[in-house]
Amino acid sequence: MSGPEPVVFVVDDEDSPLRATARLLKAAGYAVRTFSRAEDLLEQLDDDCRGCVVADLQMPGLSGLALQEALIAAGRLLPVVFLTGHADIPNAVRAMRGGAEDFIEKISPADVLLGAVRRALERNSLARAARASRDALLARLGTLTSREREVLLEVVRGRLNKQIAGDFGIHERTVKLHRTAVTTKLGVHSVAELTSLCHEAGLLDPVARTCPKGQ
Amino acid sequence: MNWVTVVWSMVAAVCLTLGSMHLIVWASQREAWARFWFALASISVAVLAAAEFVMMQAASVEAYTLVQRWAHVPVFVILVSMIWFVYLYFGAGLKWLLWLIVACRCLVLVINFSGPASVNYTEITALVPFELMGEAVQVAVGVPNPWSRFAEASLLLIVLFVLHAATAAWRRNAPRDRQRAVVIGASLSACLIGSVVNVFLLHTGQVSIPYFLSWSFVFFVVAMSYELSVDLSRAAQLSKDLQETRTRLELAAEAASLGFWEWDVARDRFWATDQLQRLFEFDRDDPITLDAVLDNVHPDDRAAVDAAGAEIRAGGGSFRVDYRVQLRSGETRWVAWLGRSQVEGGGRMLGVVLDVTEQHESEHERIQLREQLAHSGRVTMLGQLASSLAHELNQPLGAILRNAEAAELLMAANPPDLEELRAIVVDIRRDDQRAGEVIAKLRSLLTPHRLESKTIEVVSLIDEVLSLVGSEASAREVRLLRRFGPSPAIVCGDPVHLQQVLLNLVINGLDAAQSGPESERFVSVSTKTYDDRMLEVTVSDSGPGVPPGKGSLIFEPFYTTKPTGMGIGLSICRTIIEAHGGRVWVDTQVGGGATFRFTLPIQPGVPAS
Repeated sequence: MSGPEPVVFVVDDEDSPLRATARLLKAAGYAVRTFSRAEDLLEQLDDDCRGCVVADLQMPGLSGLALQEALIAAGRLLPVVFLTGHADIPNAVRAMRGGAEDFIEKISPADVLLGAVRRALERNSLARAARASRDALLARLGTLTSREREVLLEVVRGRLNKQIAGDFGIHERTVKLHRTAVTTKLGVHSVAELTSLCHEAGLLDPVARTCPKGQ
Repeated sequence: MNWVTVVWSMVAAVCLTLGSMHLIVWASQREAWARFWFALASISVAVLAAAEFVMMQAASVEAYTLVQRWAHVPVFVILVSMIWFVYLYFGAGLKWLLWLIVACRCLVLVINFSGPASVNYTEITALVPFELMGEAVQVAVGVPNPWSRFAEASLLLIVLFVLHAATAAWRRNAPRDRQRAVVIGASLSACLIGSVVNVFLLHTGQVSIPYFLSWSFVFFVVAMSYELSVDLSRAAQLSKDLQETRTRLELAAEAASLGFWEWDVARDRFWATDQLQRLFEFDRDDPITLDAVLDNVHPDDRAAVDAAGAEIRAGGGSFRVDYRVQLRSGETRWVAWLGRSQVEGGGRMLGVVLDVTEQHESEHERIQLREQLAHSGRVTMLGQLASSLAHELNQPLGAILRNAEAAELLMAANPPDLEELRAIVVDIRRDDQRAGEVIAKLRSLLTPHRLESKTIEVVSLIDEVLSLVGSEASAREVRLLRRFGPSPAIVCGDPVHLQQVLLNLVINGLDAAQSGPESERFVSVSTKTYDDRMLEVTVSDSGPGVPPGKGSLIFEPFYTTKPTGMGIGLSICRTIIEAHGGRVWVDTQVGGGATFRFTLPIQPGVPAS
């Protein structure tokens, strides 16, 4: 994958811990940007950002948990590693439920922090890759005509050409032509491949599925 | 010997005796001027009696005239003394009338000595014999002086003056004053009116009788003397009472282990009762000197005693000095000297000394108990803050750890980034200091603590407390606000205890504020000064407030509104603030949060230590 280098965004309202954390991460070879307010970080992120966030849990203004919620709402894929002066269970649970990568005490050793950051970055890169392939897939799906799309969905549900032709009131041959067009456009060779593509693209969502007539 | 001689001599003798007696009494009580005037009047009556006697026995007109002329001197003294006596004895009378009478009598005296004979006669023509008490005496016949009326009129003025003063004394409505008013007013008026009649009859030539003036005055003298004697007997009674009081006092002193003492500064000699000797374990026969008294001062109190001694000698007045003595028996006891120093007469101090060991011990015990209670209050309070205090400590510790780890990585690089390493060391040192400060603060609050008195800058004390609860407040999402008055107020007191009060009020505020919506939660601390004499610190919160009627109850021990509270926090606060000479209370109002206030007296012009 190409694009800008992943960055570790460090947020802490207190100067000294902020600087110290940033130093360690830099020394460990990461690109680091520091923020003393979560609001500043949210403002400066763009669509192309990659990396992860290391944030203090307790901050005046926007707290760490609120920052995580704001990131999710904005569709950023940056995982958050929380730092806390003292770990308390309710906050840890809230953080992890919100999708945090980790919840680390400030006095825990470097390995713990660096490990969490490494995992977070991996997760970010995986998530970005997944999003990229899904985007590409969706783009390819976009090239299908609406009839081809309908046929595709029926095929993926395991229906035979004859049944499809009957449902749509078209000739079985025409169905075959649509199927060929779909496999060519999407560049796949088997129904199994088609199924996994549709799954990936979220077309098999119960909500997104169009129910066949008469059922 | 005949009756005239006997009677006039007796009058003279009585008056002279009474006069001398009162003069002697006056000599020892110089401020009793009424007594002096009475003595003067009394002696003058004796002189007048003598003059009258000589006149009655006069051999020639010239001799009679001469004596009559000079008899006006004692008459002048009698009248002037009389009105002054009345004025002073009653403490009443018209001052202007008094001076008018003195002026009139002076004028009479001048007229008396400037005329050919006297103020009574312009000329005495003959002496005629007159039978008195079976004896022939001389009576004058002559041309009356018209100025004689003036002299008589002045006597009437005196009657007026006496009656007025007596009425004023009567109106005061005290039984003793009334008796005086009647006795003196009546006797004086009677004798004066008698004199006027005597003189008027004689000088208008209607009858020829000798002068009886001294007779009429003798009534006054006896009446007065009776009054003054009543006073004397009363004084004797008082002196007896005083003796009894002294005996009682000595008994009380004995019971209370009080030792009386008196110190002659110039001779350095103490007079003292047995208690003092017992208390200090002095030998009965040894003379007590200042050195002996100061010899057994406890070494720890020596400096304080010396300073107090210097102050007493310089300042005089009343004093009290408490200190410990180390007795020969090895025992240590607390003594208190209470006394007064008198500068006049070469310097003298007197007072009592008492054994206050028990008082000091129970006071000490009370203070210790209070300190223990305050300490347990602090421990409980800090327990509530434990998690946020851990945060407070972990912040710098975490930063130190990260910096150290970063340094390790940096040093592995080739070449190591020395600039960055230097910055790391600076940061580590600062964070270490910060952690140290937090620990020191906690230690000062957590260790049992002996009460001490320092000058404190209250604003910085408040800031320290706010920094201690800062993370707790942010964890609870309560804003801490501070609003301080313009002048930095210096108070005298114990910083740990005052911090405890502030901590307690702020933590209570945090607890109360938490019930409200997040956006409105606050605890605010503000200061205000009144006339540069009182500092008022206010801690208010956005909580539900204290219900009316509970305002004083919440300061009672073991009263609590919190499910987990012990109910000692606020009662400790009250004890501490009152021990500092201040007051603590809460404004009770419906809604709008609770507002706790306390005051502390400001130390004027003292820099903070």
